Amino acid sequence: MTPLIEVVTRAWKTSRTPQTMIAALLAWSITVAPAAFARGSAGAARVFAVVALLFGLAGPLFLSERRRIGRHIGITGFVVFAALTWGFSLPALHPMRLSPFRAAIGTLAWAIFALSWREVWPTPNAPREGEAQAAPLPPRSSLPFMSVPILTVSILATLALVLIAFRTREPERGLVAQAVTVAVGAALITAASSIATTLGKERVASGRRFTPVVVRALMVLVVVAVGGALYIMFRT
Amino acid sequence: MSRAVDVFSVVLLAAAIIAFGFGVYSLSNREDFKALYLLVVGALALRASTELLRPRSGAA
Repeated sequence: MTPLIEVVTRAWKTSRTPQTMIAALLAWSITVAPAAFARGSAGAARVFAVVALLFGLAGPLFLSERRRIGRHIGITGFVVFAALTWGFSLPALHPMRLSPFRAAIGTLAWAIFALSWREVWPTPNAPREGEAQAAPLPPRSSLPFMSVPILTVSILATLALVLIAFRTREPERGLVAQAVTVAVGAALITAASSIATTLGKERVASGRRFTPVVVRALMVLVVVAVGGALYIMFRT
Repeated sequence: MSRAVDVFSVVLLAAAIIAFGFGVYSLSNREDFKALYLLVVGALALRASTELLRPRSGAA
């Protein structure tokens, strides 16, 4: 028996592999297959849908031993081919044809798929790479002065973004605007809560500096902001 | 220095909020390129604002 077949055989005996495969099959059969095999969908959509299913079912087989490969096949591959399927079956995904019930069930199915690929977090006592060199974080008894205003403003800004997205008139564009708003809102609140709790923390001198990572992030920001602004200015 | 970094981080967060706001506004106004530009700038500003406050031992 080749090592690959051995890995697959061993994975099949665990309880997680069948669970993850069923979750992928569920998400595929509710959200991908109906779009791909609907009337008016392109032939490529059907091919991509079948490939997505193969990826979704093959990935969990590598869950126990070759986890990295399994994740690339089962998550990245599956999602990429599912997205390609949707891209080639746009008539079936028109908001007028979307059933709210199927949309709700589909959301649930993708949530189950995401949970099926869950990872057990390392225990707090497990030694982590680079921990020894990290700056010490002294404990505090209260939140920094600006924490609450920063979080409040961020939450209100997120709600405002949702309201702005509702201005969109076309249904397809509105769907994209809402999706963008949800993603942006999640990122905004996550970053704001991180800033709000980290703000004003006393650290040793080396703990907060313009490290190469920070300088790189700022440089990319300046280059993209200035370059994009100039391009927009000269284009119009 | 630490205080200035805190303020700079909050300024970047505010910049990200403004960029996202105008980005979604542009998206609803069918200005796709402008929307994409503003959303990318917002994301980069957000990343820079959190990177600034992350404790590190590396020297700069």
